[in-house]
Amino acid sequence: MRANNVLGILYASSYEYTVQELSGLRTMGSIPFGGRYRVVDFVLSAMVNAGISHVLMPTKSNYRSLMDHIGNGKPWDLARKREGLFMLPPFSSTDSTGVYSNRVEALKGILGFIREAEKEYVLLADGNLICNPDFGDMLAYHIDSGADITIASQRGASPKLINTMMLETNAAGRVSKCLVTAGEGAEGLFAPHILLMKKELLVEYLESVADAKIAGFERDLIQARLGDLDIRAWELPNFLAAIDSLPTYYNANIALLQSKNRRLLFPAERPVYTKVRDEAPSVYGLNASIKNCLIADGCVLRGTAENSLLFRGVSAGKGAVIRNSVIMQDTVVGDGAYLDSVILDKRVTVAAGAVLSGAANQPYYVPKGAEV
Amino acid sequence: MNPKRECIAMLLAGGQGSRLGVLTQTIAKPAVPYGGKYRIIDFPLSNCVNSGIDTVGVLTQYQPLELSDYIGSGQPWDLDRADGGVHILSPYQQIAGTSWYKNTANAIYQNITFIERYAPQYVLILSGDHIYKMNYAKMLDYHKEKDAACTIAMLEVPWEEASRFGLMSADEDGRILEFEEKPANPKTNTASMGVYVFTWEKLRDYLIADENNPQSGNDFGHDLIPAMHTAGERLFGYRYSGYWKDVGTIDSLWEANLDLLNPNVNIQADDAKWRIYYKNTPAPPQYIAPCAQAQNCLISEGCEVSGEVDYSVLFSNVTVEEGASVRYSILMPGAVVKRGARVHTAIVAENAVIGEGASVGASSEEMSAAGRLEDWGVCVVGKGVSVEPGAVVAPKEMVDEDRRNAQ
Repeated sequence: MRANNVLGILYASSYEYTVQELSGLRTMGSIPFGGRYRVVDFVLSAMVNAGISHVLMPTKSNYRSLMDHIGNGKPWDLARKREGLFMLPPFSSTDSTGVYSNRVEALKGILGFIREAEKEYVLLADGNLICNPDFGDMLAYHIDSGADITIASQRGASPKLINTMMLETNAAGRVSKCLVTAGEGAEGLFAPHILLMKKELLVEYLESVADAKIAGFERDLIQARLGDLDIRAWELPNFLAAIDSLPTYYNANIALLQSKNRRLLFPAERPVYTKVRDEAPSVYGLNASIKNCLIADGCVLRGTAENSLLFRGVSAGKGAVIRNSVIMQDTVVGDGAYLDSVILDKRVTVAAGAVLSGAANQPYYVPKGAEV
Repeated sequence: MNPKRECIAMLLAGGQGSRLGVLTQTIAKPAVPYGGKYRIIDFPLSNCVNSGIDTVGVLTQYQPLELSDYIGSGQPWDLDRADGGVHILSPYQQIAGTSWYKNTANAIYQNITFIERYAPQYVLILSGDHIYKMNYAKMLDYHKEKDAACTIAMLEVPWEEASRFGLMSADEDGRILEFEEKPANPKTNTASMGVYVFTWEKLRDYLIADENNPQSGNDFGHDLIPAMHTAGERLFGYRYSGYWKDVGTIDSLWEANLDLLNPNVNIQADDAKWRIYYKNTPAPPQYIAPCAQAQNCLISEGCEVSGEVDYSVLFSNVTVEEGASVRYSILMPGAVVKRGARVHTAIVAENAVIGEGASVGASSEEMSAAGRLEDWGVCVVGKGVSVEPGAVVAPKEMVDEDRRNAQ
């Protein structure tokens, strides 16, 4: 069903400390991912594709790259007169810097925007999630089941993030038990923090909880209220990666080399939108040898690449060998260089003949603009 | 708001492009895909924006739906301006009656009111048939410096092709001495590129005179410019030496695409300082499978390549399955080449499907080995056409309905 009556709230900054290499100069939401995207593009596009046309995006720090990426929201069709996309940086005043320390405080800071939105429901999502669910299905489930709160969930090993919820459900699908931060990588039905509820319920909670008493959504709104609220788990049918470390980030990128994962993350009916760069097609040179790679536009390939992702505008020189790597936008790999299991950030220059290598469980990272 | 502009552009995009056959059955020529990402019209539009011209009238007539859709608000070219920007100008009803655009000069004549809104000193006339990158601002400077009534961009073309163009000779100062539209026996190989800068006052007078002349065919090259020349107006030629290609025929469209792969051809579609903008279709990056072989080709977003691709241009969302072979070919958006099929020397239009083991076209080497080089040429599979498994499309053929397997 169309989720026109839903307000989207997407945190731009979630768990940035888990990938300090990548988030030094940017928010979680603006970390490049998947060859031509930023992390925020996936959930934001899923919201738009479900018919959500009013999205609030609270930010915290380092949000210049995010502002540059999002602009007026046009690529997501959210540059609108009515509704649209609102980037909400911390609002400092004489008695407060406005910089919040948790999600609930962030929402309290934008309570006015939430109240004013003429929507019946609200969908909250963390900004470190790579997935492309049909939020229309989630809303239909929410309404049909008569739930007060619907939590997106998936079975498997939970991400290594604090406040991750592990759920147990009864035969009717109601959440009967909720453990918060059950332990690193615990197996079971975990919830990557995508919540759907009536806006009224969220506003009531935000109005009633005093700053000093906030224990977080997971404890205040889910754990403590399992008895009096109907809380349900909706299983995410899709590819999901919750970024919780550099290896997870790396593996989630490499996972896109499998066509099964690409079909789930890029279904034809739910395209993923991003800021466009008007790149020319990629050029494959005379002796290029490209195998099992995802290549964005604007690349110039004269060497060998295997099992890798090359973002927009990457150039690989003659005789260069790139294996098992994630190479971000506009990076130049010199002639004869050899790369294995590395993450090269944007605009890195790798000298001719250089050798860099890491391991799949600990990829070697080179920061933005570096020359190696 | 100040609508006044020093120079505005008028882009003639109404032509049918009948020599492109099945490719222009349902779309106007300027909307024909080119270069893996673009449509022909992206070149003049991007040239305008990159040259600082922010007001462009696009004159449409033949099959305008897809072209109008494509241009939309003009946002991809930064032409969605508060005033100015891109305007689609179609023929319209008037009290005196309705008339189609009779020809190029008449199309501009019918839009004098549009031009006068911007009170320009100069008007740039462009067509939507050519692939080139040109800084119109430099040409405009030249026009002003020469105090010309009309400046025509010109370049040297191969002698054997010269009779297809408007030809001219100029003196040392650049002043045009002679102008002939498509002469049978060319005396020069300096051709008009179909890019004109006019001083608006002059052009307006000649447009009105041309309209009032019942003998005139209302064409810039045949009528209006010769009339100006005869009257002794200051006509100048502006020399251009970069890449320029008329893509009015199947062969030239095919060549112009493959030119992008030729390191000796100076088109540089990826030049960041003179970007060609286009309307983006959202698609994930292209995937090249372990069993694929992709060399010497251009590939765009959304493609899935598992077969062999050599010396070819793949537009977005093209699929080449395992064991398929694509050579010297242009595959337009959404085309699918199934397992084991061969596509050699062909243009496959949007969403066409080449079935398993089908054979489309043949390379020149192959034809020459079979002693049939004279039958060799580019074949075309039309939009949405399905070539069934095992079916054959011969060189030079144009297929506009599903092709069955004859066996």
